Amino acid sequence: MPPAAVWVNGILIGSTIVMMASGLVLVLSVMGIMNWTHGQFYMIGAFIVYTVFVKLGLNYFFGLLMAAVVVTLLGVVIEKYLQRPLMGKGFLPVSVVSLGLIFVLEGIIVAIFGTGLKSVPTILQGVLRMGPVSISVERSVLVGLALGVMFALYLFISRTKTGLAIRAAAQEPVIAGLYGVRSGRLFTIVMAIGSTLAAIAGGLMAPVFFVDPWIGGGPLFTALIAIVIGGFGSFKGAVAGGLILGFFPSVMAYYIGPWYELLSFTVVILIILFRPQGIFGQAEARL
Amino acid sequence: MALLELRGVSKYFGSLAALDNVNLEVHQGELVGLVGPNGSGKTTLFNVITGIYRPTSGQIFYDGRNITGLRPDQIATRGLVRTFQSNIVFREATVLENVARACYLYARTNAWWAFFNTRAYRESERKIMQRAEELLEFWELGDVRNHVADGLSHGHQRRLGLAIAAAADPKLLLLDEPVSGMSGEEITVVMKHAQKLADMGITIVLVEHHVKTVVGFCQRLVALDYGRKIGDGKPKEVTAQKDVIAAYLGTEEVA
Amino acid sequence: MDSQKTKSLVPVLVVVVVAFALPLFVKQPFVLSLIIPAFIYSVVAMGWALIVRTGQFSMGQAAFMTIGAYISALSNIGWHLSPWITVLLAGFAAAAVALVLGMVVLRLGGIFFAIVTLGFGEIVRVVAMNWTDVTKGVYGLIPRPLSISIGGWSPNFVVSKVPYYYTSLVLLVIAALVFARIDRSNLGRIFRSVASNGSLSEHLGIYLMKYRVMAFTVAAFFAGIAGALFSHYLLFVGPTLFGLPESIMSLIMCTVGGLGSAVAGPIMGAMLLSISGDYLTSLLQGGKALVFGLLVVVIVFYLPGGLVDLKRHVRRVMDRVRGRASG
Repeated sequence: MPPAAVWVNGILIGSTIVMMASGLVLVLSVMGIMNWTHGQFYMIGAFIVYTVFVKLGLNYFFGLLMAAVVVTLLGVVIEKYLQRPLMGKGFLPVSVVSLGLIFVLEGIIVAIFGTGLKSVPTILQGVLRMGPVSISVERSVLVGLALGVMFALYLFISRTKTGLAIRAAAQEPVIAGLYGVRSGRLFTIVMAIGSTLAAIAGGLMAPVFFVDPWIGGGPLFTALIAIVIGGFGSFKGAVAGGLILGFFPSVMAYYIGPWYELLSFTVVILIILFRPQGIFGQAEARL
Repeated sequence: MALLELRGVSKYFGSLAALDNVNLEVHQGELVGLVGPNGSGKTTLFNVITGIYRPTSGQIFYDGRNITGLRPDQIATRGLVRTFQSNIVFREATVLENVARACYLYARTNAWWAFFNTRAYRESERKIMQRAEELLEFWELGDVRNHVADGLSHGHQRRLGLAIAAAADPKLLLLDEPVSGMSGEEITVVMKHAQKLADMGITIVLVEHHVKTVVGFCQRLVALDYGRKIGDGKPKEVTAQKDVIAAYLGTEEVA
Repeated sequence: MDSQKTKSLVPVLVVVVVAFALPLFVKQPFVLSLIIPAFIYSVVAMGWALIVRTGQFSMGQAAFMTIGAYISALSNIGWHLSPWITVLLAGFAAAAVALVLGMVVLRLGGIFFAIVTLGFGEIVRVVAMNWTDVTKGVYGLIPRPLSISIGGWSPNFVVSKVPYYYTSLVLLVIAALVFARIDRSNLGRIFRSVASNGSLSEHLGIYLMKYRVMAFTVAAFFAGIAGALFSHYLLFVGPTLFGLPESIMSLIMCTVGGLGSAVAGPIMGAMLLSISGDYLTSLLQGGKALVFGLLVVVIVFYLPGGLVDLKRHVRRVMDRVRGRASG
């Protein structure tokens, strides 16, 4: 039985993967494009938190907020000027630009911060003791935040009018028009949400591991696998996939070490072979 | 023995029955019209026959063999070819290139022969280009041969779509609304070509919303409504049926 | 028709002759060390271009380079086979893997395929990093250099870069001939059908999977050989030698060179970017990534046909300028 810390880490990592996966699945289902820069948004979020908290010595939570704001702006600008104009021309131009932007963002960060590892010190000292279980205060707070963000997202998607429009668009883009939300605005909103989630995920994980220009790749990869397992176009699926993939590695890693990635990939292949729509997706995938 | 036979074919999308227990026989050399109001399942029927959808129940036989569940390319290889209502051509290619691509089944070559440029391959290529030329002439597309398909007029594009289907060496041709959106003159031209194909022995099933066109061309009419077959027989008889008229009430005159 | 063919052949022949003659005039090993990777990446880029010309988007070319490099090194070190044989073996091994993976994943195509090839690249890296018994993990493997011994002629592959230059150039020429031949033949036409309108192609009797898998496998074959040759040149194979950045680079190279082209575009893009890459990094950390990323975005928006299209594009702009000046 792995210690409590492993479980807490698992929930934390799982939540961040769910955030990444949700952001990705939103953009993918509503806009029909793959936002490859998602991983970079995560990384930039982490760097902003680093800058604000470590370099400027300000409050960590303020840094998190800054990360969300800056990255969201970045995402919205990219969507409006670099993605939308290309969206009628087939999937290739959009993807090429998106991949090119990975390099651009990496280049900018490396130019500013260099290639070295940065570490973010513990934001809150102390350990919580509950009977035989002890977890760090910091981790608890981070987990609390992560769960809070996910809950807020859930409320937004399920209770608000915009959330409804998003769900409709994810199922059938034509219907979204009927709800009176013009697709352009909806695209921007969805991209904004996705970017915010990625940035917060990055910011939350900054104190947990380390920060360098390449930390975005792993979460992007895991989020992608989560979406495939959970099913495209399915929000529930993204959540399920994210939890499975975020939670399991920490617990699995405890048992089988770094081979859990191979395990997830094998699961993906099996799903593609036997249930290509994922756990929750619709049959007849349009993609 | 029928060339095409559908036995109890149903197709459900969730709880919606797009096709409901359809039984149909088409014999070699027949010219069959498939009519019905929008949503009656005509295109779905084509999709099921050509392998895009698997029927929820029932079976499809072609040339004596069970083709239920086969892939579209396997079905096309056996000589069962269809046209589409939309997305009917290779948009970025020229008309000549379109037809050349469509001749894939006509002269099948091995990838290795193609790569090593063997004599058999060169001969096959020559035959493809020759056939492409013949098709362009037959369908009167010679003067637009070097135009990009995307920029063609509607009438030309549809004719190209038909030429493409003809290039695939069909024994049974399913035409999905080949003259929709065309002027009376263009319709005559297309139906003249379709008749020529029929004269060459190709069996044709024609889906057409515009019943007048169909009545003139087809020897037999099959009527669908809500996925069920409600009429099957001589055009004059089927169009006189009360339920067929009722199905069309408010959409278009049948007589 | 024949005069057209001769016209386009002449510049190609000139380039080939210059390429073969280069080491006679340029003696600095530094220059050759810039060009050899460019040749290698040209081969990989042409493979990516082939996949894109069947309408698919692969993020896994680097993974096949890695597989090829490891297979070659392992069979070279472990079984004492000649590097010439192991490099060829590497190609077949990579092709075999691509065949299996392709048959499973190309069924779905599109974004699925892109994502899974990306994932596959990650998995290859993870396996290479952690299967330390075989791959020695981070420390990597050291394959033996190529060598030839015919009569008394035994070029030194270790001290001089010239033999590797010619070897990779020959690989490039062979690969270019293969890819050009495919493109010009009926196969190329079938690939274009599949990419242009898969549904229509199916109903014309074309089995989409067959051709998608074919392209994917051929691309992997050459990527495997390229990766293996490169590692015999570097005398090193490691888990991070060819990774996601390299896969994205094959895409960027093809886009910059011209997506409509099967051979000239990828080669131009690869030569340009590979050679300028090191220079850009020395200018500014992250400079290479920044410049290449921006370049690709600019090309997509302002010169979508790539460098191959440049002449025509410039002529059009000139016509417009001239028109405005005189009108």
